[in-house]
Amino acid sequence: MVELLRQAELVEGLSPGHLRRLAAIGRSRTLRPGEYVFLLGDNADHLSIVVKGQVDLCFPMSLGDVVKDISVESVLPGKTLGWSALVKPYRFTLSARATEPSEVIGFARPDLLQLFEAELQIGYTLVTRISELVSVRLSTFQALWARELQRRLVTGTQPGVA
Amino acid sequence: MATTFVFVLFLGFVLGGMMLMLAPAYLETERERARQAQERRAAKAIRASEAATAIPGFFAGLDATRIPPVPLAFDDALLAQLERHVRAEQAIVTQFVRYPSIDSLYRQEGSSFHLH
Repeated sequence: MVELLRQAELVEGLSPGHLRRLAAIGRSRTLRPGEYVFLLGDNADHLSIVVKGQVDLCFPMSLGDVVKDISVESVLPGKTLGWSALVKPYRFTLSARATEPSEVIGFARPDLLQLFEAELQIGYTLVTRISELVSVRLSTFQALWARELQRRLVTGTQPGVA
Repeated sequence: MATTFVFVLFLGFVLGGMMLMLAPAYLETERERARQAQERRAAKAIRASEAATAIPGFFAGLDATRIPPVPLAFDDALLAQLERHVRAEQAIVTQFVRYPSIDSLYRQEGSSFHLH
């Protein structure tokens, strides 16, 4: 498991010893295509790292009576999944679904917090990486929203366009 | 001679008086006819517009409340179209995320999503 974790961006900069301590609290899980890691709104109690395959982050959209999940981001090996497990209110804001046979390593929040107390460097590194992920997510969706609003504004003020 | 003159005068007064009495009546009658004609025209126009709106139009009107929305099937094709749009937009905003600026935010037009 240490070798699998070594490729993860979340743990970049951790010493081999710290990696081993982190790997000791990790739990591997395999996923079939279409299987969900978590659903939007679920209690976020596990931080995960994708080590094999692909997991898509989705949010639901409805048209009439039909609801489907729209894939908005693909999480590839080495990438982090479920950072909401370390950020209040500890609820997943997207769903995560495997698109091919995949494997993730999950870390339960209580185990992580206990490890952070014992090894401050591990906590500092992981929280720093997570803040970067949150920043990217926030900036991305902020930009998407701004562009959509701009588009609607332009469309609404063009002559002859309702 | 004088009698004839007086008689002619008297006749003139009588005829003139009669004309004066008939003229207002005539004018009133004409006004009444014009008013009735206008009312008939107005009533005809109302009936025509009512008949027009009662007939289903060939071209769709602009009043969205009168036209029920055409139900769309939320099928795989629409799903793929949505996801393509989202991914394309995300690719565009990646530059903004790295280097935030008004230019990088709005520079590229991108694809606008339309339901077909």
